[in-house]
Amino acid sequence: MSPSSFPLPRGTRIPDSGRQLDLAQQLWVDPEQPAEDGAVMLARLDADAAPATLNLAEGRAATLFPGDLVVVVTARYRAPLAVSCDLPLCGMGAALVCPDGIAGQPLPDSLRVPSLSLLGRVVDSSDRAVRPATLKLASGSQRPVLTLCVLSVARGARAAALTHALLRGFVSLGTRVGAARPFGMLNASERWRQLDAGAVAAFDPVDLQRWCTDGVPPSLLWHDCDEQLAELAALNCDVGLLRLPGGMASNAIYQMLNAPPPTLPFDGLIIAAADAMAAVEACHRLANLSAPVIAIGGAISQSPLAMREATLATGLPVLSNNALAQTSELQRLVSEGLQAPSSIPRAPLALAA
Amino acid sequence: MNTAIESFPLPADFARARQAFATRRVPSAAMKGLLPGPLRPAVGDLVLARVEKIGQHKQSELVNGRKATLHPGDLVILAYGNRYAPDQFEAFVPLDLGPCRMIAGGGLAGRDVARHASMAEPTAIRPLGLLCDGQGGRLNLRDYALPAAPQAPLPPVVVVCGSSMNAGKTHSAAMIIRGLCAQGYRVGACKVTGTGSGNDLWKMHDAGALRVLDFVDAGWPSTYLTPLPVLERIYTDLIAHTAIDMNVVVVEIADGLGQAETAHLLRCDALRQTATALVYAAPDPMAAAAGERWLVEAGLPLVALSGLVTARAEDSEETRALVKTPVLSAGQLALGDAMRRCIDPALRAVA
Repeated sequence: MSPSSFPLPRGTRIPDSGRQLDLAQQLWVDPEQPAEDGAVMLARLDADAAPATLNLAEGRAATLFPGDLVVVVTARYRAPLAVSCDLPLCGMGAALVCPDGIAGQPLPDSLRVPSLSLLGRVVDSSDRAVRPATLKLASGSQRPVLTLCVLSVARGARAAALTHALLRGFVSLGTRVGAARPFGMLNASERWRQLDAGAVAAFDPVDLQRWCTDGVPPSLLWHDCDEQLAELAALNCDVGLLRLPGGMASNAIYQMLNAPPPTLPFDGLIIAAADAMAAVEACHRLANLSAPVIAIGGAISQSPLAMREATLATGLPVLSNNALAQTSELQRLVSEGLQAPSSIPRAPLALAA
Repeated sequence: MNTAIESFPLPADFARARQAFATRRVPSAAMKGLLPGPLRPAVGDLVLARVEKIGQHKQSELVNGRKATLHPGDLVILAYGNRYAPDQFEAFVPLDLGPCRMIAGGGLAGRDVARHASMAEPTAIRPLGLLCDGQGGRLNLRDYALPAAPQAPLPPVVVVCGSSMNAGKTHSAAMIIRGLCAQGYRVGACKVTGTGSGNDLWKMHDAGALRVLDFVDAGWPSTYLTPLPVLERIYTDLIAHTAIDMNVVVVEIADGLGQAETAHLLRCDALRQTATALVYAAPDPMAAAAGERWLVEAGLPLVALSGLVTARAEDSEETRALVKTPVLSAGQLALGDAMRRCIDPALRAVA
């Protein structure tokens, strides 16, 4: 133990990014250990910083005032529609770039985000840096009986809302359903909405401690998908909803689709698109992968005319979130759109009805 | 269409009626009476209506471009027309003069059959009758269209189309106009399809276009469901009129490639024989890639991708990874270099 180490102060705020921390054990703070990618750090909101919102691990959005102590994860974090960050530069200055508890050097510098002082790395009683627990995969080959993938064609296609609607539909059908989102921006509220809608479990990047997909080989990203789906299977989920965020042109998805695994880890694919032409292009590209696209949804479903254009061009149903949340529509989609893999030992009772 | 039936006098407060932009070619002096009977309105017929309930469109764009705030009880002069607007409404000309809606702020009357989830109900109106001339003949936009186009060699024509409504077509067109004006060209602009509205025309005018026309000038309040030969004639007439004394014409085509009239126009001989360069606007990388594939397969002279997709650096980079066509931001279009390189050879050929 470093002589300057001190116990993690009581009352320190734990954000969503630290929700996997084992708080039952005595935790310490070592000021001599530097920040690095994925490091759990104690920080204090600077005196001249404006009050900031922090999404606590238990789900409440708390207000963080200057001087408040908070646990953050320092990371290279990429958020195309929000503030991204790199690791903190020399010294212990950083900024809270995400209300879910990510800190770093904001990109670009000019963005105004709450500034923090990093006070040291959170360690255990043996002075080992603690890392939030990640999922432990017993067997990578398992996945829920039925797995649907929601693929975002472009940012802003409202894939999260589409996933939520599917979730509500499957819950209404009486199935045990879970959601997986192995990478992408942190979004605690999305996870809580899924749990509130009845998901048995909802996994997101926090569960894999994957803050940035830049440079991550596609095989590893596919593996992350397998890992979260396997965890859903271990929780006896009949249905798994795998959401691949960021858009088909984003580096991560583009690489993944160019290097697909021998067997795609889902039975059917629903694309979330914002407009008809994007949906057409997505179907064209996915057809080359023999990906089983069964429907189109997302923001496009807000426009009856855009829905008509997409259906005419692709032959696929374009379904609104309301339709997907209805059991009859969902049953029809699953029964007509999917060829259930023969390896599936059983069908969810409600779906078989 | 001039049906000579007995007309009624205009209401006492007619002078206060708000004449909408889409009816601009019809002088108010030509409006002599009302035909209130059991008539079936036609596309382009002018209607005098009273606003009953304010809905989505809280303003009506006047002939001079000002957007006048509407109140229940206001009199408005609109044109019956069909509307295709994926981000707003789909609407048709009704079968009678019963209550209907103002389906576009530019001044169209119709009955909506579908609307985008973000839209409120359209503003409700009660038609008082079709406007007629002194002989009781209906006033229709077609009777006030530009005369037949003069036959003359055309200057280079830059066509701007897009993946959908709100893809950034008009902004791209305006930036192209700015760029070409900065390069010393005399630029004319026209919008050949869409729904009558001043928004896009004023943007092109403000960007420096010396003459700006649209399908209203060809006699149509909108082009949805317009017969395809008519659509081609609108295109031909408008670019011919726009081209007078200009050395480049910028043409905007509304909506997206999935819209029937847009798709037809882009494939028709009239356009293929006149388009020197084509710029495609898209809101996201995949829509950009789809458009490139479509336009290249159609054999059109696609020279640049632009639009909303270039507003964010990440989207631009992702698009460049997907396509072969240059991806140009609005700022790059406004420099004019890229367009000048495309049109100069054609300009020399005309000379």
